[in-house]
Amino acid sequence: MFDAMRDRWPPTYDAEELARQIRELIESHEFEGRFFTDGRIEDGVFQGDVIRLATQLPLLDEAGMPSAGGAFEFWLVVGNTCDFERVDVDWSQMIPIDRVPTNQIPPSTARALGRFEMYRRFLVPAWPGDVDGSAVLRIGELVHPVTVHKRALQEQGQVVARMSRLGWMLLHACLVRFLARDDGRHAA
Amino acid sequence: MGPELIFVSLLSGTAMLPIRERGDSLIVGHRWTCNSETALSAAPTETWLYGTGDLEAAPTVEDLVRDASKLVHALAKALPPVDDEAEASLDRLMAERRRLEPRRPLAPRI
Repeated sequence: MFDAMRDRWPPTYDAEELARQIRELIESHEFEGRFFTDGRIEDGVFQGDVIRLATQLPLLDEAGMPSAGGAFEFWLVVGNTCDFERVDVDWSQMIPIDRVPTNQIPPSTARALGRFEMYRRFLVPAWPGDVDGSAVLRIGELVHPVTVHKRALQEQGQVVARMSRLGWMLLHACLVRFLARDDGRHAA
Repeated sequence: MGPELIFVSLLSGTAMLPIRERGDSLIVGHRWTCNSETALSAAPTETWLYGTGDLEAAPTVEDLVRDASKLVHALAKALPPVDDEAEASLDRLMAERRRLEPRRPLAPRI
């Protein structure tokens, strides 16, 4: 029996098995409870961690000039986990988590978001200790990846939630879909 | 044509895989397995695409492209179909949020 806390996380080769696990996770009545680990958050930073780091979103604007955009308190680490252990890699990537009041989003749109039917966004469930609960939707903006120095995450940031293996698999599938979707360049 | 190396970014890690031309010699590179568990003791390990490999089992360029394609397809296929209409609705809402946010130049205009 695979133990996600002790065993090495295996790759997923089987599309049907992966689809089944993700479908079960999305449709689970205990979705939020199964998405994050419920135990103590150990040291280190991992792909899929939710980080508290109050800062602004760096952008290249319409003129190609660097700008500081909106302020965000929470971010989702999308950089490779192994890079955090490598001394020859200083940088990682994260995306902002926008906390949008639930009543500002049409129900049909929220439903599609909650079923992971959008490829530019990743719905982050409420994590343990997030007092806003269902009052906000936490939307990870995949189109706004930010390059961040690893030390900023490790020394200035605080890991507030860590994904379970199921949550991490869902994130993985969404990251792949975001980057590898058919490009439609010759669509009519 | 001599042997070559290729980097394959699989989001969970970068695998530097040995590639051999059929019937040619081989350069063996580091093989990284990257996920939350193994990263604690990150070191060159077996590649998660191919598992244990020896010189004869090392993939060709064609093998690599075929298997990476299958993996990407499997991951994307695991998700429900994209709802473009719903996403366009959210695009508009989020664009409005971004538009209302204060934006501050970080460098003097040239």
